[in-house]
Amino acid sequence: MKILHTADWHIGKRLAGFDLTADQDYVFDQLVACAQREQVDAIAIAGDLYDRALANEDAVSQVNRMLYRLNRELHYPLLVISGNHDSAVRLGTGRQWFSATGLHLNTELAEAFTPVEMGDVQFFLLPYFEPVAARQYFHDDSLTNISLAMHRVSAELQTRFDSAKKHVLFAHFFAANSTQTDSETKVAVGGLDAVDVADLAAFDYVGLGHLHNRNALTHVAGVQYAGSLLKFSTSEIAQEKGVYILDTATMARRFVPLKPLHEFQHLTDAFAALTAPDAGERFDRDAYTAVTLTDAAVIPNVMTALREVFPRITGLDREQAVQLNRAAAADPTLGPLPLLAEFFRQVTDTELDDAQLAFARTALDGAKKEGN
Amino acid sequence: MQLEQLHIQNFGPYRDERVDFTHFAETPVFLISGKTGSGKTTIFDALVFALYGTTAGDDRSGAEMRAAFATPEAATRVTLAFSHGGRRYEIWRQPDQVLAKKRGTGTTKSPGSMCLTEYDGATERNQWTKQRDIKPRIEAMLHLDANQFRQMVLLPQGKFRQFLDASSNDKEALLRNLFGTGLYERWEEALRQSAKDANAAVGKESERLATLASRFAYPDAAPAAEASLPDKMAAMKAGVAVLDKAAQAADAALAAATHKSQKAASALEAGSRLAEAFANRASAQAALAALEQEAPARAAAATRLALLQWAQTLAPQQRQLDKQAAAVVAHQATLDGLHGELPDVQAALAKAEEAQAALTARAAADAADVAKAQTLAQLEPQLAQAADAQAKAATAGKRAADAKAAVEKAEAAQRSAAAAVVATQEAQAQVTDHAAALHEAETALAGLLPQYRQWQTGAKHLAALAKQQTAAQTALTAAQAAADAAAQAYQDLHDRQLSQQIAALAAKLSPDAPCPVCGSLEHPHPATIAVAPVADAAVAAADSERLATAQAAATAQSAAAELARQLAEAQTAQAALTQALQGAADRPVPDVIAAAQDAVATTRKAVTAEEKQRAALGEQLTAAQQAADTAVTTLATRQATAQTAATAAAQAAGVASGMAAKLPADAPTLEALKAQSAQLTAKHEAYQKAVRDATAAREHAQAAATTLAATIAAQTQQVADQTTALRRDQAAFAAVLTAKLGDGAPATFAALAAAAGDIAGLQAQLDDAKQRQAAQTALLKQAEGAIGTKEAPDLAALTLARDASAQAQAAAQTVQAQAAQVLAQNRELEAEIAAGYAKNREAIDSATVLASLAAVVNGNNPQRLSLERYVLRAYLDRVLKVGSTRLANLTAGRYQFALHTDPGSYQSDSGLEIDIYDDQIGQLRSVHTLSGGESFVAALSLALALGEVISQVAGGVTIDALFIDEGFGSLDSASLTTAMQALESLEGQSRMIGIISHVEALQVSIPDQLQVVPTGSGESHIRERHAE
Repeated sequence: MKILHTADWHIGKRLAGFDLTADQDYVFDQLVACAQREQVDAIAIAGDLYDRALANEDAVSQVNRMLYRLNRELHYPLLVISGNHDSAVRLGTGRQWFSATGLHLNTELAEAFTPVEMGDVQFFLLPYFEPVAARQYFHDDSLTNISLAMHRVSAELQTRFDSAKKHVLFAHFFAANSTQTDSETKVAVGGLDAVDVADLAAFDYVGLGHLHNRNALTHVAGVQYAGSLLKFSTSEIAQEKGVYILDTATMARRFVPLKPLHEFQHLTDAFAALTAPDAGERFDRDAYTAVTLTDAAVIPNVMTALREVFPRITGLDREQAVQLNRAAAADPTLGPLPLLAEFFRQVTDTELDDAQLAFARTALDGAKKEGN
Repeated sequence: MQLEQLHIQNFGPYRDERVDFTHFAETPVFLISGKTGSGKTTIFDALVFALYGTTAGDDRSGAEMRAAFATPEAATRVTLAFSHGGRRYEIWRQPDQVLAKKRGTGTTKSPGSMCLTEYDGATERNQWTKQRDIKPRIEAMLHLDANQFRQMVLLPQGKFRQFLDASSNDKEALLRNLFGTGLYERWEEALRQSAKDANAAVGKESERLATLASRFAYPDAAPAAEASLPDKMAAMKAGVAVLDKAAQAADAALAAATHKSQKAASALEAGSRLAEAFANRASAQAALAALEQEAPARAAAATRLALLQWAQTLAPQQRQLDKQAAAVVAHQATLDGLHGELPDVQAALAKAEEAQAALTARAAADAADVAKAQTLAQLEPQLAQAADAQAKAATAGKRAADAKAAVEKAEAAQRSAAAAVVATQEAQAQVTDHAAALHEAETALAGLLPQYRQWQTGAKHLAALAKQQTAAQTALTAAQAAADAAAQAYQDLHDRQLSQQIAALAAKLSPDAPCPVCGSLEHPHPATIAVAPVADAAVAAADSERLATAQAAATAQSAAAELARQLAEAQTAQAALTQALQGAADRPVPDVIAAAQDAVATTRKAVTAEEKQRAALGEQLTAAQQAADTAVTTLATRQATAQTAATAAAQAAGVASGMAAKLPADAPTLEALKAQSAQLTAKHEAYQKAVRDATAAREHAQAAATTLAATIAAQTQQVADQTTALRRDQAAFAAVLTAKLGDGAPATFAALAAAAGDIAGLQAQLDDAKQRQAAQTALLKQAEGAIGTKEAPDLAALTLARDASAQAQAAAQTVQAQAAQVLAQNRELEAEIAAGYAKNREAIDSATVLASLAAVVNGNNPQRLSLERYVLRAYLDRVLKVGSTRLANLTAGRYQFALHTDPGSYQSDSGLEIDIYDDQIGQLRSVHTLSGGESFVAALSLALALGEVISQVAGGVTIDALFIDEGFGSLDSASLTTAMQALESLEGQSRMIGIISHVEALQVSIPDQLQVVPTGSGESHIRERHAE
């Protein structure tokens, strides 16, 4: 049996203000082509279908369209869980009917303990959950973080194991010691909201969502992040995006890269080079482009100028901070009389003369006395 | 300032809640979370109320913050503990509120109260309870008033941009407090005031000069009132010249009038003199005529005067005669007196002679006294010598006795020293000696020790062996148990195998076929398999286990036996050693050794003590011997001295007795002799004096008698002579009188003599007449000389002329004086104005300089920048530099702060305006153009930078807390992301930052929280939550 493992679609996401609908539709078509080419038996989506819990209507209809295509038109069984970006309630609406057509969608912890069995494999679909859900489910107040909760959940899942079958887990969380990229929601407190990979050892394969880098976790056998379909931040530019094809007979997996509609590039160069007449020949102008300028000078309307060359510019920074030509401000610790002299010179372009200095000194003495 | 604890009672939604900020000291960012309206911001309100008595919200007073649910018994109070400048402080406040009466029922209005306490460590140092004491202290500590505190410490709900957007004036007020630039403000004010003063002084002087100028009396046409002072001054100068000329003319007129007046006066005077001469002549002529008529009377007076003068010449003679007659009478009286004295004198003489005769009769007795005194004088030296010798003998005797006593004392000392020597020697002999005993004990102990060490080693070895043996025994028991168990197991298995085989066999039995074991044809109870099948391998394994455990048990057995043998051997050896060490003593070995060691130690101590004692006694003996030697020497010296003294005493006694023998038998003592001799001498001297006195008395009486007799004789003669002379002179005088006056001469003479007083009057009368005649004659001659041929003058006309000319002169005088005065006044005025004007010119220049300086310093300059603002600008620039770094980090380098360089339209918006540099447009733009999220990030960067820079500036104030209030709810998602990233980047800040928010995303990212939990009845509780 061959399973296509994908995750983190983030439908509805905008990249630096750019609408990604076309890009996401395009890469979805690539995914469909891959599934057909590979003749997969089912498709697993490990969370974060939507980018926002309260997704806009366009995003909802886009996801609906995609699920309809896979499930209803192409008749792929779907193994779907909700991620931290999804609203469990919204995404889970109608799940009771979906399974009739082979769309297995879990959005609550309790649903994870009933495996989906296909052939000789038990698929456990564990949605993203908060420690509070585990506390309520197990009536155990000690489960104050994901690490503790997952230990308990894993033990519970293992009680449902049919020893005659293989066991595959699809889940959405942060596995300990994974590396993160900029486009993921950060975990503020290191370690506490991370799942100990030892708790995953009982499964033959663990297909994960959440981290956008498919290589976020490389040192643990049998545990794999699918990665996102698109690059969502400059830190992901070097990554290859795509899907995994899992063969449940051998539990071997294979990465299949998918081509995006527009590339995402990071250019580090001088402003002059980037806007030179031959820039179109040297750079991919259609790509989403993050620019790092090597210039340190102020460039008027730099963004507008760059946008003319790279219409999909996503960000601009500099290798070194711009040096503003600030007028040297006075040193406030110089003391009253030197400061006055400098002030006078600056505002009148003339020097303080002796008579003025004498007046100033007398007045200063008075002011000092008054202050005492 | 570091916040420590906040205690809120009946304030807002809180009944009695405490916040301990120190729990958040290590977690720079914490969240104050809770639903909207649950009272998150009220925590900050309480903080501000405690410090200042007002709340953070501009619209709520302290009294209004009283909890709605508070009963009259529950007072509203906020207590804040904080530390500042190394001191701890606690401040509490209660607002005005209505509370239950302390006594009785009902309520009463309780006025607001407060209390600030300062602690040094745990000690209370100071306490204030009046707002007028507390307010300045809090403001001096924080350098902020309530509003500024809010602005600095709270980025308030929806007003992130408050400081960013504030006008330069408002920023100035805040920054002045924070950076302490009040001096510059005062300086500016001082300069402004100086300029104002200088200007006023100049104006006043100008006014004074104008007033002076108006007083100038212009001789010609005066210049217009509005003419400039210099013009007026020129006119004045010309006026002074004109006046000067007029004054000179008046001077000349006066001189002419004066001359004329003088001439008229002279003429009048001459006329007067002439008129007087005419009068004199007339009066002299009249007087002379009168004198001529009185001439015959004057002749008769002259005759009487001559007779009176003659009588006066005879008056002395008359007085001489009278004197002589009186002298005769006096002398006769004296003579009569002398005759009366004579008998007394003679009686005195007789008495003196009689006394003299009596003394002469006592002369023999006196001679005898003198002889006796001489005899006594011869005996006196002999007596003195004898007494001297006696005294010397007594002294020598005393000295000999002293010497003898000293000898006895020395003898006693010598005896006691000798006794001390003997006693010390005896004591030395009595000190015991344990050296031999010590040596013996040490030798014995040295013999014992090696044996003892061997004994100790043996004991240890023995213990080890015993332990080993016990272990071996345990091991043996275990091994045997294991062997038994293994045997049993094997047996069981074997049995089960047998039963199994039996069952197998039984199963194969066929009815009526003989049993291969017993041959029975009947099988009433064929065996069945009751137990689990047993494999052969298992039995074999159990067997080998049985053998192995049996082997192990045997090995353990022999090991235990070996150990037991070794133990017995060791015990024997140890017993022998113990015997050797214990000897006869019935004690444990260690005690024996310890006893031996103790004995050695004790003996050693004794020996040491003895040695010490001996040494001490030795020293004592040496000292005693030295003392004895000294005593012997002293005795010898004293004996020699005593010998010498005895010899000297004997000699002296001899001399004294020799002397005594030479004296007569009845010799009196020296004192008696001296007394008797003195008595005799005194008696003799008294006698001699009596003789001398009597002789003198007799001689004196003799002389008196002789003198008296002589005097009487002389006096008698003189009386006779005088009487004769008197009679002769009286006759001569009478003859003279009669010759001049004839009959009755004496009476006439007496009348003339009596009228002698008339002489002076007559003489004066005559002299006066003569003098008057001479004077009138001279006057007449002088008057006639003066008149000569002149006519009598017209005095009235002359007087008239003189008066007229004098009047003319007076008039000229007045004119001249007036002219001079006007000139002097105006000249002085002109000079004063000129001088004042010159001086004021300088003052005006100086005031102008000052005014321009004051104007520039106060911001009246092209840049509309005051000095203080210039300084604050420098501080703000520092803040912006620090803030820029943070802002750039938070915005991926897009934004930086910059000071707005161009002046604004007014001073109020110049100097402290902040610009934002937007790298995407490459231009500066105003902070007012930032979007919500950007302005949050900018405000946050600025607030943190302000905190950082202030703490670097000396004199600046440090407040280690920043509260960021809400406002996230209103941010769009992109801005919220920006703000969240900014907050996440705050880790590592030195300030404590409290974020007041209900946004759930923050609750996940910030684990340290103060959770405000509403109960649903208008009350809330505060819970602390920390990262686990």
